[in-house]
Amino acid sequence: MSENVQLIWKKIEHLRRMRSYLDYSLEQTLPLMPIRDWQQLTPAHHETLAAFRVRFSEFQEHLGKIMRAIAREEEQGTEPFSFVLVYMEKLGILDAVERWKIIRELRNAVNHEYEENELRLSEFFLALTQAAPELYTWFDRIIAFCESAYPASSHP
Amino acid sequence: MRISPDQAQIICQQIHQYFGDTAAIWLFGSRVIDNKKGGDVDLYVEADPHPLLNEIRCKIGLEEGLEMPVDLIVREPFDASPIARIAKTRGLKL
Repeated sequence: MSENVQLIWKKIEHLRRMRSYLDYSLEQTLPLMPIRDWQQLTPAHHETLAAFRVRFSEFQEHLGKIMRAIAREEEQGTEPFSFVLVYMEKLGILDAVERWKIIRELRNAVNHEYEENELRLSEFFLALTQAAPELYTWFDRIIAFCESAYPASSHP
Repeated sequence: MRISPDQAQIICQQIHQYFGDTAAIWLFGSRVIDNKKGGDVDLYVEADPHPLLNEIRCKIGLEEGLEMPVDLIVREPFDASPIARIAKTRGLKL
């Protein structure tokens, strides 16, 4: 087993933990959707939203890292990152490269627009909650690919 | 300003594609200061209400077309926020 494959499995374990934390935050966030009046939210609600957006962002970022590691293992180009995304689409892990980019922009926008435009921010949060299951699907497909491509190490 | 005529054209095409021909565009920030180097392309756009995904897709299209990071702010006409004032008074209308 190559060092890179070991790293991939380590990342998968890390992502499994991250997914459980994100899932908890998603469960806490969903009852708040859609946010119609930000003034009605309690400090605890704001903390829930903050945790959700951070965990969502980190989960997608780490998904990107594992995708890059897989592309490297498969001797594909990894720069620019769009090469990795196109390869993931080819493997059937992503349905469409554009969707990955849209979700990445959504999370960036949530981080930028914080407290700036409340109506827009509500839309961004709603879109992120709807996008979370897509991240889970892509992660499940990554695991399935790795179990098939790197079986010797598949179950630590 | 530190964008080429071709880049300005890409910006206008993308903005009008996603926000309509009446959208007004200002370039502001470091790209309007001639003696600076590099920097994001800061764009302020005044447009009628539009779907969230138009804004997201437009930003992606701009970054791919320009091959530069873009900070895109879209507001409805007559927005009186500080960023609107800064962009429109210190920026250049494209």
